[in-house]
Amino acid sequence: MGITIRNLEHIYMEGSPFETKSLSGINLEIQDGEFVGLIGHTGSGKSTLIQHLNGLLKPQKGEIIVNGISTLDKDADLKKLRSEVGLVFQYPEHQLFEETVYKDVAFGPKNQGLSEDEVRARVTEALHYVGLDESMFDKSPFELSGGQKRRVAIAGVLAMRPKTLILDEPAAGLDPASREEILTQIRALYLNSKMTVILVSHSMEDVARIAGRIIVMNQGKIDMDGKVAEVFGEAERLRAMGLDVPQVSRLVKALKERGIPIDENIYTIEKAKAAIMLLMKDKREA
Amino acid sequence: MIKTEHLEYSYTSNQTPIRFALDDINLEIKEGEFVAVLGHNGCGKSTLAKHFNGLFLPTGGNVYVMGMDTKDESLYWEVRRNVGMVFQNPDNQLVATVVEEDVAFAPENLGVPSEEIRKRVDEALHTVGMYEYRRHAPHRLSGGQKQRIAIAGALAMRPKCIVLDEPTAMLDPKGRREVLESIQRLKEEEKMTVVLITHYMDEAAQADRVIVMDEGSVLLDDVPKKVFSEVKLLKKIGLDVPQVTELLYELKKAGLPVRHDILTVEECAEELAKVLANK
Repeated sequence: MGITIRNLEHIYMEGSPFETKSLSGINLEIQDGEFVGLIGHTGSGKSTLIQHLNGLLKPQKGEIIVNGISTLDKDADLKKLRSEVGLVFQYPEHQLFEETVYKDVAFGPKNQGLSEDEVRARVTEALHYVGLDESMFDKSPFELSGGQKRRVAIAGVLAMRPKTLILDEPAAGLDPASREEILTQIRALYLNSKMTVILVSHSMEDVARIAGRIIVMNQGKIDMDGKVAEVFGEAERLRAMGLDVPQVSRLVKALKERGIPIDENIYTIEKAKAAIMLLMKDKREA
Repeated sequence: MIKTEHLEYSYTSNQTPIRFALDDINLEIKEGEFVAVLGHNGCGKSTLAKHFNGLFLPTGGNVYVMGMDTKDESLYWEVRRNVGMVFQNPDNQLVATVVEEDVAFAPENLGVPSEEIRKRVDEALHTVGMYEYRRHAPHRLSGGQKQRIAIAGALAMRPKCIVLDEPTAMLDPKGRREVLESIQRLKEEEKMTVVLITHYMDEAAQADRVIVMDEGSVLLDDVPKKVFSEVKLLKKIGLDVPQVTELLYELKKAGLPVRHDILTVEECAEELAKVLANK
């Protein structure tokens, strides 16, 4: 059923001297099973927007319908909505609190009143999704490495079996190998489940690699919305908004300027390599 | 400026055997150098940085800051005054409700006369390009701006060297650019010694020298071009190289006659244009 947003507006601290319009005129349609990258500078409204998606914030104006539930509806089952829309905040490892990894991940499903067996099945499944096996279950979450802690926190949300998974900067502060690992797992999770994934990120390289569609926010509005190649084709516009494009996109542009006939829609190393090898082959044959 | 001799640091606890976070580190950082330190989480790079101003003391070997042994208790304050530190999360480092008061915090504590403080604060804010914001409230600023205030706060102590521990990890691309520009200015205009710990390879590529740490030891220590040409080794220890370097490395592996000691988009485009034209 997906997510529909109509004319959403949000004013932060309305009526006070600090009043700021943090969202205005947001119209958005996200289909089931999409992988959306949400980018924008700090303060562009990304976090405010995602907090609307599971009813943590309610629309001051406009409306949001998620899987058929309007968050404004007085009878809306927000509990159900929140179990369907899993939200992983920034630095989610700060929210770990239980004595063991198992208990921490089990917290959500337990509160849903599921049976012991069902809880165990879900915890096991969720931890497997993030690449942690049984040997980790009885460890204290606080003795794990930073990347592992974060994966436990993400598993806590997955154990709710959400239909939509929203991740706010899941790779921030991790080293390149842990980054790669977490992104690969998110990608695998997306491919293996039928989940809708919304990934908020500052890293254009990461978004380029794993998302299918990119939404760019700027000053509380949606500035661009399209396929990855379309969005990264507009390097100047992104830079003006305080964003960037992957190095590979800049390289492709620099090659075009030098008269090399390379496809503009290239934004990953693998694709660039293939395209250049092809150009070399053509040269040899000519 | 900073010198380590057989520096060792180990964590001891009752339950676990001794673990060396740093193992026989011998480094010399020269005055005016811009050094980037890379390594995966837990490789010891932050532990190393905290030795540079005496926040941590060696459990073996020595660290000298401008010739001062950091283990000498009578020199603690002198060492810390000369090596400013900036950490990852700007929100944990700002203490005052007005930008200029925040920057003035350290010199006030050092007992610097107020006229001198005024001068230092203004200079520090100019250096990081935040002078116009001197009367603003820090919590209303963007991440990049806050981090530049934290840098200004360190500068107001007039240190000889500044150590930044992942200062851009929590920032958006614009914030990162702003902070990097400030760091470049410290080096170019103030002739300061800068140690930058980072996970971003493009930031390390701008340094004069890159030190790669692994398992508590120094694995590579050279100019960026040389360090990043070790694509395979870096990948093996969980690090990355700039995208263009990786692309050229891959092309070379596939048999193209290209150099891969290249770090920037422009250089890479030149190299590829040359190779494609030659055939």
